[in-house]
Amino acid sequence: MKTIIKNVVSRLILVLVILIGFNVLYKKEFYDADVQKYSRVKSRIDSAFQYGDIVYLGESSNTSYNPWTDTLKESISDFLQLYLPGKRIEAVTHESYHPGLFRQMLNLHPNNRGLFEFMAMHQDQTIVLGVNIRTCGPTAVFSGNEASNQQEALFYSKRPSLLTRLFMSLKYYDHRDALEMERLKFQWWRSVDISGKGMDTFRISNKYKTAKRWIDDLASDQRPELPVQVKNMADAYVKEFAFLLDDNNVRVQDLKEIVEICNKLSVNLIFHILPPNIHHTEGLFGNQLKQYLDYNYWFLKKRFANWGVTVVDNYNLPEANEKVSRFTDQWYPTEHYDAAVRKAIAKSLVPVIVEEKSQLKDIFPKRNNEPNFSIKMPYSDSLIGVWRRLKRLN
Amino acid sequence: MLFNSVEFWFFLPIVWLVYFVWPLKSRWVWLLFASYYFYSFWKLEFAGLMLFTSFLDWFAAKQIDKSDIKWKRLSWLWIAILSDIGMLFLFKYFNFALGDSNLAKSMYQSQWTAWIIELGKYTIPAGISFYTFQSISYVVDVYRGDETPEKSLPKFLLYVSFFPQLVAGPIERFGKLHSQLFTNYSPKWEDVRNGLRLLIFGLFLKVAIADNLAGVVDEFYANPSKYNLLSTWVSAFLFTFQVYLDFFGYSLLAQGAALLFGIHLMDNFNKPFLAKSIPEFWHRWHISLSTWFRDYVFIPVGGNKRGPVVLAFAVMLVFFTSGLWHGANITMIYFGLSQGFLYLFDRFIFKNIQIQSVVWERFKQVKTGLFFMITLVFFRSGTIEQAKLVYKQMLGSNLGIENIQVGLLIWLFLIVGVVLDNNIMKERADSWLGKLPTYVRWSLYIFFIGSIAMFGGAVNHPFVYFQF
Repeated sequence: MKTIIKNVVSRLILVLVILIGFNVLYKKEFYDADVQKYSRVKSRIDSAFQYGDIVYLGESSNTSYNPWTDTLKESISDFLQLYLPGKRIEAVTHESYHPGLFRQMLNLHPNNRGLFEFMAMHQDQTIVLGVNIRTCGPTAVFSGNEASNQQEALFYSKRPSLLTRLFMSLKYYDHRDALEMERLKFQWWRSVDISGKGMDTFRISNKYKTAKRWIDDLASDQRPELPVQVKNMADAYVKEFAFLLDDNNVRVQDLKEIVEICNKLSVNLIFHILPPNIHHTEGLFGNQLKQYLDYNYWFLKKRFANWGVTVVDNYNLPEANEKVSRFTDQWYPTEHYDAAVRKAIAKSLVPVIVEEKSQLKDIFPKRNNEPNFSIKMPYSDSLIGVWRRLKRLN
Repeated sequence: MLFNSVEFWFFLPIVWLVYFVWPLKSRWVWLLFASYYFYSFWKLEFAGLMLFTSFLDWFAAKQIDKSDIKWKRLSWLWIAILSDIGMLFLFKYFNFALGDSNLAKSMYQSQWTAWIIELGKYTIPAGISFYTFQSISYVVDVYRGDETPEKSLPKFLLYVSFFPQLVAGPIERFGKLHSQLFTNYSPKWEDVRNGLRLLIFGLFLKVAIADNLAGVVDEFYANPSKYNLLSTWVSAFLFTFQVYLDFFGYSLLAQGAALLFGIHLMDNFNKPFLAKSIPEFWHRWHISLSTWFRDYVFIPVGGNKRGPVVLAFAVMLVFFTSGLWHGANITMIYFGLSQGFLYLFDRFIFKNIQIQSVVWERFKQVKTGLFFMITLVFFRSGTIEQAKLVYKQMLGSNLGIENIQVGLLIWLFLIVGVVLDNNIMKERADSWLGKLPTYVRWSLYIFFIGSIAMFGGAVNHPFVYFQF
């Protein structure tokens, strides 16, 4: 017994020495290529944290634009840079990113001391993080892309590089495949109660106990006069927005952790709540679906206040919902805005970032800063009107 | 928990260390606990399912043994078999059988049955096909009088759930495993050393080679029509070795993990690409499954003792069932049937061509490997349409222009793995490594460790056979 343990331990030590040697070799020769191949945003994060006065962390809402109607392509962070020429704005943006990934990105912050670093840096910095309510819902949480996002996020760490590489080979990340995520999503829609029963501070009124019943009901409506495009859209809106946040929600927990980490790193943090497509939500279902958006917004605001984090509240941003065409995706719920909204969001951030209000000067880019409405697009408004009439919504 | 996961590499040493300090007589209790933990780590509900299946078979075997009345014994046998197969059907084949029927739709509408549809559609309990077959073999062996039933339920539970072979075999027979699990044998350094050698070589085959090949093959199958003729053949070639090294690597990991506890599991592969015919190939490939089908399907339906017609029927039945066992998909049935036809072709026609020449012997090996490689297109394709498309491309039509990208390192690893396995290692990896001079052996270890740590495949793939 003792001999066996002795032999095993001596060999383990030898293997450990070999691995340390390989770590040096890997870091020197192969690591950078692997970062390029498997985690393309990582170097962007490093440079953003290194050089930015303000780091904007966002998903596709930051950069999306409509190639036909947007005459300005600037992202929210670009507009912010125009508003604040004296500050260096760095943005880290990627489709389908969410607070869980932003939380991991903070591992790379220079103020965070790595395993083999003697002391951390101190850098005054403001992090602006876009809070997208939709990413807290089951469709986003159980997205089939999550495994690849999490694989990329393995590199958002200051651990020895070889360990990261080994973790990638041994799938040491949330690697649930698309099928398993699909099952969890369906399970969620089928089993999670969305009737709001037992809630004392916020009243939800809905005849459907679960999202699945709602979805099934929509699918069973076989009236041929109901516009198919809008039917599909209604299905998507229910799937994306019919959920109620609570403290067990993984995204809520991530947001809370982000606040704690930023406090620890002495970094200023601003959450800005992105406007959802309230216009279409109301158009499709009246208040029946909008009440979920309102509840989740109310829930987040309450939590943010408890955590003491600075909030820029754009939930009801007039520019976003006064004309439906300001959302560039007409047939699916996204937070993709045209230039006017992106600019308005950037403008709303400025007073919170700069202390001197007098510094705020509006910007007037040379090109047309409004969407080009002379280009005809198959906007969904008219079909939503048909849907409303047939569904007899108020 | 999979063998190629970080969790397993924490789990295994802890289980092993506790095993050594545990009192010798009851070490199996610790293994039982560890095995159920290992399985429930993946999904707790499925551990309950395994417990239920095991209990039913244990109870049925006891009833069979207790009774002398033939119909009673037979009834218990069929109760056990049908409940095992029923469970397998429910979780694996139910959705496939229902398709898009109204029954499937109405089941999904109901709160009570929707989970069955969801489960069958998206997730299958890990290793259900393996442990079900293992459990069936026990009941049949008791019925035949080849085994005496296990009196203790916990001991039987360990036979079914022993973690190294639980998720993807080898499918061990009761007599062989039972005699090792409960004999109070304490592993020697020799066992541990050989176990570690198998673990490192198995992990090299799986992580450094098979997972890298998986990345290339996945890319091809994501859109086969954009690739040219050569790429189509190369992808078929690479997939053949992906499946082989993935499953062979896994089997070595299972054997290595078991050896750490002094348990010898059967060899599941014996250089299949040296086979000169499809019948021989199946004696060398997934041996535990082939022998299972031989003993519990092929021989009972007539085997080779009742003339060519019965033989052909038995062969086709075995390969049809084996195809279906591999997955609830029509492509798997095609895979099984094509293997059956090739088996019969070799058995009745090709066998009669006798030429005494080394070239002819080599040709037979190449032909066998090629046959297997071509039929594997069914195995890999998601649908029959995709398989047809790939076959058309292999014949030179509907071709795209793109080349498949295979890195130099992947070729290097593949050559090292295949040459080591087929040409250099004349015995199992642990014995072969043990006979090498220390510096050569450690150089190989360093190569294996470096390959796994620095160049392991990044594609998100479990073991190919994990899904079965």
